[in-house]
Order: sequence, then structure tokens, then C-alpha cells
Amino acid sequence: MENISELKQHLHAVEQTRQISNAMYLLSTSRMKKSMRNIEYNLTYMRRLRATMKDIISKTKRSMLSNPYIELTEGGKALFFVITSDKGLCGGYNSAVFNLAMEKIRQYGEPVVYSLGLKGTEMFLSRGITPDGSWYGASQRPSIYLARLLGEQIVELYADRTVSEVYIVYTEYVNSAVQKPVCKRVLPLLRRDFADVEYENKYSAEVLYEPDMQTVFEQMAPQYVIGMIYDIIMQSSASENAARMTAMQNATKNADKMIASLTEQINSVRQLVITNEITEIAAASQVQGAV
Amino acid sequence: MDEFLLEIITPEKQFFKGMVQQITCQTSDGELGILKGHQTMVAALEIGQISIKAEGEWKTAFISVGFMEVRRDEVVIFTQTCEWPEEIDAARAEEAKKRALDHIKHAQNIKEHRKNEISLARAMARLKVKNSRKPNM
Repeated sequence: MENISELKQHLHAVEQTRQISNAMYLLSTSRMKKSMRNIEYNLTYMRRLRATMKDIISKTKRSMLSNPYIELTEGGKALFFVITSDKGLCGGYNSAVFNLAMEKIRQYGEPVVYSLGLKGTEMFLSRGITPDGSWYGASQRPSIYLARLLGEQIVELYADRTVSEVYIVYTEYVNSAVQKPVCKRVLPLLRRDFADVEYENKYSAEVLYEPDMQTVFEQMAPQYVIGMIYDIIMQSSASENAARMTAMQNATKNADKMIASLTEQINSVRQLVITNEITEIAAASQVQGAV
Repeated sequence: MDEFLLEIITPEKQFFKGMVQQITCQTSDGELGILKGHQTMVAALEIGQISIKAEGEWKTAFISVGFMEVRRDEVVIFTQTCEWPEEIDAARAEEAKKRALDHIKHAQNIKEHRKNEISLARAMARLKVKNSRKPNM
């Protein structure tokens, strides 16, 4: 027969865990919604930014726009920027994005590796890869400030030709049930990247560029990169929280199941104890009566 | 007075949308004023302030790097951050200013120097907007 106090202790522990997982579920739901709102705002910004960039690109011939950001793929190092979470308990979120990153990194020989997120950094170190740069804090509080910091760093490396290609490996948020790890090229920007931009010829008149087209484009390109990174860290954050939401929902469900079965067990044990006691009392009284 | 539509968009939010009479902002060539019917133009904006005249009143906000699309009856400004004076955290800006000044003194190379100059410009512009609630025009 199982010990009733042990079972009660177990039940208590499961109940507490359930409370935590349920709280985490609610928290990640609200965080996910917040990130999704920000993705929306940024999309408007990016759409219009792209339209203006396309306008400049389509007006210029290859030779006219001598810009370091566009159409340049000379053999330099590749930079891989891997985005993971700082905390665990989010299902397969981190390992999925990490596996994709490892696959890409192997294809490129020895690229420069940047890691955003503690989990990713830990996983790289355990594989014997020391990231050339690592940050954390983004998954808890993704901000435009961080996006700017990272964007400036990347643009700088690219501008001084330390790297010639920049890829970001992150998790794309499809919907709350589906998140898929993807590898996206950030730099160089290619003309064909802008092929899908819905482009309305809104300037019927001659456009004046202040101070000139070249400067305007040079200022736009880093901003575009920063906007892209902002989108990417927001998507990652939404994905992370969606993954955590699912994981925590499952954990809560499992805890509910365990609570039900433990309660049943406790009840049957208690019943058994009572039955035994009654039998003993009955037996004792019979013996007394006989005497 | 003739009005035109002004929109200020940042990655985080739509900062402003409404009819205005005039705006003044800073480009690399200096201050630039826009009225209704301006020639179509795309201008790169510097870190600094933007003044908006709406309903006869001037308002000033802090703006970081960005650019502006001007059409005859509409102006769209794209920027990373844009803040009203009341949204600016003066203590943080003050701290950023000190840090940037300190870093500039100890900068090892031109790149580092330039980067901190930008941070300094940002902090100074924030403080300027915060401290001068009334635009000086």
C-alpha cells in the first residue's frame, strides 16, 4: 500500500508546478501579442521605405549608383547572425533555429558568427564554436534601440569589408501554431529584392534629392537594415513566446491529468485505509463479544 | 493658410498624422522649411529637431536620422525615433551625453570617434528639444 502522505506531497508539488506553467502560459500569450503588434507597425514602415528605395533603384543604372550596399558579392567572409532565446522552456524553438544555423555554417566553412540570445551562445560553446560576438536581453525586451545597435555593427563590418555577406538565422512567425526557422540575407541588398515591391509611380514630376540621390540612398540603406533587424527580432520574440505558449499549455494539461490521477489514487488509498480500519474494529469487537 | 498632410512613421509607431501648415526640419545643408505645394523631393534628415505648425501653433519634437518624402499635398517622414519633449527622458539623455563625451576623449580610432559623435549629437538634440519647449521662431 502506498503512503498517503507521500502521495499528498506529490499532489501538492504538481499543483504548484501547474500554477507556474499556467502563469507562464498567460505571460507568453500577452508578450506574443505585443510583439505581433510591433511587427504590424514595422511592416508599414518597411513597406514605404522599400517603395522609396525601389524608386531610386529603378531610376538609376547600375553604374550610376555606386553604393557599397548594393550588388556586391566579392569573396569575403560571411557573417551569420543567429537569434535564439535567453531562457528555456519553449519547446523546440532554440534547437530548431540552432540546427539550421549549424547546417548553414558548415556550408560556409569558417564564417563570422554572431549570437543573440544566451541559449544560442551556450549551444555554440558546447560545439566548440566561440561566437565572434554575443548579446542577450533581446528576447525579453526587443527594442528599436537594440536593433539599431546591432544594425550599426553589421553595417560597419560590411562597410569596411570585413564581411561581404550577412545572413540572419531566426525563427519566422507564421501563426501561433507554426513557426519556422529561416536564414535570411540582409546584406548585400540586391536589385531583385525589390522586385516584389508594389510600386506606384507617385512622382509624376521630377524628384529633387536633398542633398543628392547618392547620399539619400546611402542614408536609407542602413536604416533599411535596422528596420529589417527590428522585424527579425520581433518575429523571433513572437515565435519564442508562441513556442513557450504551446509548451506551457501542454505542461498545464499534463499537470491537470497528473492531478486527476493522483487525487484518484489518494482517494482509493484513503478508502482502503478506512476499510481496513473498519474490518479491524469489526474483527476486534467480534473477538470481544466471543469472550 | 493652406494645409497639407504630414505623416511621421517610425518602426515602433505612427508618431504623427494630421493636417499641418508648415514644417521645418534639418538636412545636411541646413534648415529646410516646407509649405504646401513644395516640389516633389526626397531629403535625408539629420539628427535634430522637427518643428510642426498645426492650427497656428508650433510644436517641436526630437528626431533621429531619417528621410522625408515630399509631394505637393503630402509629406511622409521616416525615422527611427521621434519623441515629443514630454516623452524625452532628460536624465538618460544627460547620461548618454556624458558617456559619449567620455568615449570621444578616449577614442582609439576614427570609427569609434565617429560613432560616439553620433551618440553625442543624439543626446544633445534630445536635451535641446526637452529644454526649449517653445521653438525659437
